[in-house]
Amino acid sequence: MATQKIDGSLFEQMMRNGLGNIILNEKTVNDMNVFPVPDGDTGTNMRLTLAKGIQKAESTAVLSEYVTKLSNGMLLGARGNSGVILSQIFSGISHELEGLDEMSTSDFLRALVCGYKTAYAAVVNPVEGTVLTVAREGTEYVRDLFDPDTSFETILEYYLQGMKRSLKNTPKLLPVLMQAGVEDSGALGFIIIIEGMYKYLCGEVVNSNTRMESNEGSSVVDLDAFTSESSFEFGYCMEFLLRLMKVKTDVEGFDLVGFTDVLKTLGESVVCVQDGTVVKVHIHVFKPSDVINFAQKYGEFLTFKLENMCLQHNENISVSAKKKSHVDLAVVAVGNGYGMKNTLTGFDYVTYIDGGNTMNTSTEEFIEAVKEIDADRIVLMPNNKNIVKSALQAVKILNDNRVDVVETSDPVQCFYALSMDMPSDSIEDRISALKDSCKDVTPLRVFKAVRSCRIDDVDCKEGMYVCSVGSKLVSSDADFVSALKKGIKSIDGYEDKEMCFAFTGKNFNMQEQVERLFDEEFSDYDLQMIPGGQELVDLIVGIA
Amino acid sequence: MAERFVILPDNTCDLDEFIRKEYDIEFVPGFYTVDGKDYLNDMTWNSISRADFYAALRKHPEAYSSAPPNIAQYEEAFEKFVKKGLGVLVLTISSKMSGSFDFAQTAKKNICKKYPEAKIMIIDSRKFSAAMGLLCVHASIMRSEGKSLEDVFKTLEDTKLCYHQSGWCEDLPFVAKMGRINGAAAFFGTLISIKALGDIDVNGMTTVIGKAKGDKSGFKAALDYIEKTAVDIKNQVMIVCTTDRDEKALELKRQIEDRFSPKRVLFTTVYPSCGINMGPGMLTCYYKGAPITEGLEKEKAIMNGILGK
Repeated sequence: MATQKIDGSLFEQMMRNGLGNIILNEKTVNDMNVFPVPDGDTGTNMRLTLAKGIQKAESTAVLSEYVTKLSNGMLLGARGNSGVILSQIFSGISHELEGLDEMSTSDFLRALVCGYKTAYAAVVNPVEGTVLTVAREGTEYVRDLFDPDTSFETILEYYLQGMKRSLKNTPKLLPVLMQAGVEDSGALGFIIIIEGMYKYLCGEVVNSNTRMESNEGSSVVDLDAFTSESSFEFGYCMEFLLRLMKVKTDVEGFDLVGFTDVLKTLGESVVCVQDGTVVKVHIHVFKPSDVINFAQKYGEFLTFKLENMCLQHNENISVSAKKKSHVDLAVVAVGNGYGMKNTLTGFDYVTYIDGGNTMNTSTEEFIEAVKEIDADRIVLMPNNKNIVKSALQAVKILNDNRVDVVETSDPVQCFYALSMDMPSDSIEDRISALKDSCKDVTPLRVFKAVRSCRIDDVDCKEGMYVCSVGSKLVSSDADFVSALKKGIKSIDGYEDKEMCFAFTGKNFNMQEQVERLFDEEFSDYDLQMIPGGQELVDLIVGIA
Repeated sequence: MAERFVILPDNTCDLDEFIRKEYDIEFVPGFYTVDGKDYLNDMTWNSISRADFYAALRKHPEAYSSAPPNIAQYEEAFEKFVKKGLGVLVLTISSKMSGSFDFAQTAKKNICKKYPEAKIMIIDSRKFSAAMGLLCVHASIMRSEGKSLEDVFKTLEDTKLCYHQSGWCEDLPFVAKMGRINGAAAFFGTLISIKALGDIDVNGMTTVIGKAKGDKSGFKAALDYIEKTAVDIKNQVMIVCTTDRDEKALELKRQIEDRFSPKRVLFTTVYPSCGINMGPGMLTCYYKGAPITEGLEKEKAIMNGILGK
């Protein structure tokens, strides 16, 4: 079949197939993340970003309406560097398709061009060898071969060929990829999404049990938010895959509509999708046993998820401002772990967002946090370089000149800057001082490598301790303390520094050894270790 | 007319015994309360060691409170010296922090009814702790130079707002909790290595005017601040005091002596009445300088310059 026109309905199905494809390959994309830290989240970020867009976009046959809402949803849900760039590509696509009920292949080519140009423009220092290059070179390849009579299937085939060829070349353009022996993960993620779209046109529907994946983030749930005295007002969110069983029902003649109608009497927000002999169900319910008993009349569960929505609700409102009263200057800070939360919320003008293990906060989460705050000025402190773009995107969308971003790439920078804050100064002086103070801190991390690689001229084997200073790996050692010592000594002028403070990870048990190291090697430093509770990194250190 | 006079601060002057003896300074004892039980603050560490006091205070600050000498105690102290025909120069903690000044005034009225020729002159020091103690030391020096009670009273009244503080507190959350610091609410959660550098405002309240990271930066900022705010430093008797940071306070004293060669730098500790409100972790130097500005605006600007802001 040769598709010559695409309207909103068809585009939606293509996007859903693209989402399904990234979900299937999410781990592969995550694993290509360059650093040997188990926080590879490119695939997850792209999946979450796209899922948010699809969730927000209402089904319509009018292409421009669908793509606009898709793009806006992706902008809001953008997570991490890769998610933000993905949202910018679709923002450009949507801009070019404005006003069109359906698009031709010529329209699509123009949209692809606008897509990559918008993404390039959004990046302050565009780096070749990333998704930017791949999207551009893929588009250029299409343009070289383009013929107005060419079908969408062929256009996408060309696009994928051009991008895959470009992907192979990314290690030559980006030394860090060469050293790690991988191609760019963001580029791969984008190719996988487009591939899913292409597959749909070719009649290959990605397994729909993955197409309806929820777009929940990776944030940590506070179980203490629902106590033995709490009011159970929201019920459960239930999702499952049910395999229809011949011993229980007429599988060939299964009545999905009737099945769904019954579920609607048991709960709310019911969505049922059937793919062959598998039925995917999503429902909000107060008595899950009713649904379980009903479903088991037809088959057996393949997967099952049940969550107390009171916890989800409280998780969302933990983003809300601690104080509703007015403050001169408010700060929105991102962290991970109970220790970081306690430390950062120790400043009463800080609104805290739990970013999960990778502190990947979406643009929307920043926006929601800002909306809850009553302040003359509001500063966002992302605490992870991968979400600086999300924060900047939030500022752009909010279009509120009260809001600014202090581009902290690590929570130690944020904590130090807040500690040096002088509340008696003018607001603008305080913001200026926050920006200056965070530069005084050199962040270090010590963690266990989850795979062997060579990066930044540092060889590390799986299981060794690796130390990074900023975004650069500087040392590795089988011994934790040795890796830390080498890391500190790699800092220019470390002898003149005065303080070292560190958030200790959830399972950290080397406090005595670290204290001994400082007594012996860095006795001029004031050392302070704060229980951080973070999952992935043993020690997050600030040297100032 | 009395020719000699007694220098009589309340018990918040925080002068160690050897200083009081050397400069012939008396004091009116007060009380502090722990879990509802009263203890005499006699400015010694005989009943409890300083280390134990501050350790216990750090653990349970809510159990502690202080009280100035009451009217009867002031009357008793005044009468003791008035009977001997001595004039009395009284110094109290800032009236913005305590009722001590008012109690002393009432006691004076009562004593003067009984002893019409009594000469009692009371100064609201607008200070606390060894800052007030330094006023007492300077009063003693003027007395030893032959100045009269009236002259010393006038000089102190005219210059009491010229006494500065340079040093820092290392336990700001404690101080913030106790409310004896301006702008306290934002100081929770501060890194312990960061030194909050303060000076005293016109009411005697410590105000943080800058922050330094680490001891090295802290000492440098403190000394630079003294250099820019002190007057006639070579002829000054200054005082360094601490709650429980002796090593760092002695280092501060040593650096002041090396850099400025003042006439003398005394060293004293902070006793329970002020310690309860200042908390552990305090070390500072008090000295005479230019008049303190309203809101410490000039002082903040000086500190900002020192810190490179």
